[in-house]
Amino acid sequence: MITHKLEADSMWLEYNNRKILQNIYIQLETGKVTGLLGRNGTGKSSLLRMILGSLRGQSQSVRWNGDYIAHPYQEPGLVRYLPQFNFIPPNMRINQICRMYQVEYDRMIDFFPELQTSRYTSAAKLSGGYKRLIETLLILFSPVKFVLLDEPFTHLSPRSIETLVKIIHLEKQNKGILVSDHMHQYVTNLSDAVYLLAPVGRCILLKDPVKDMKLMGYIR
Amino acid sequence: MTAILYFYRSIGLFTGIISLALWALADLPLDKNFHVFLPRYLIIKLITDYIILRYMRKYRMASQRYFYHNLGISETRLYLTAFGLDILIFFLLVAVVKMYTQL
Repeated sequence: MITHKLEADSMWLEYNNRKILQNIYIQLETGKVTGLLGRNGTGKSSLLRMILGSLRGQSQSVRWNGDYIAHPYQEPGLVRYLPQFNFIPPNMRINQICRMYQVEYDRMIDFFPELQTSRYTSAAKLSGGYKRLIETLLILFSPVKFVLLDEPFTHLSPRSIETLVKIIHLEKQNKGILVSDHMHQYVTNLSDAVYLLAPVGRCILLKDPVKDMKLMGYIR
Repeated sequence: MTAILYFYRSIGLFTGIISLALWALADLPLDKNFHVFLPRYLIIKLITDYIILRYMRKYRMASQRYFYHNLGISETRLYLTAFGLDILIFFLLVAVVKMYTQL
């Protein structure tokens, strides 16, 4: 399999002269899971949106296999993003959404048989947990080279998280996956590389994630 | 295009009613009178659609914009296509009415 590389370089973001991200570099590769950790307000979600191309900062350079791309999300088959809140339109049926995203709903059922009854349900009628699960699977199973997951484990049961971790391991064979979540144990366990966003807007590639995070006071 | 049509469905009723109301207020012009009505109609539609789309952007699209971004659709493309569809549907309606009145 050809390895694809997505690099985010010189990512700089300020709001009202308040620095959020300063000269960040982060690299994703197909076949690998990259973890992104950091306390609340350190700019993790903003960084993901800048990589997607939907948020413009003071400076940014996203390169796919060395070539600059201004709006990565507009590049067919390159990247999709799971925001930390619900993003699917409430009145659209799940099977319609899957068709648009070119995702087979049966694949979701293979891992979560309890979703069988939700195929023709509109998103508004789903429970919060099911909606979040379907959104996460929709992005994970997307036919793209890179996926950016912002808090994929939030609102999910421990059993669902375990299955999701298995899916991430399976899907990384075809794509590069960036995971950002406060459940740092899951992130560090499944990631091949872990970055920590530290105040103010600095990004550190952790060599020994658990030890380094303890040293930096991120965990006890 | 299905996603854009879905988006248009969420605003089409309001923008359609505005178009029909403007047309009715101008005494349902056809032929030459329609050419006089058209520039005013387009200016008012630009303003009203802008207000509706701004409202959508602030309250609904804040969470749903990533649904469209994941499909490679920018907000500018989404709004401009919706505006274009809105005008096109009104023109089609006027054309149908004109066709029936000439029968």
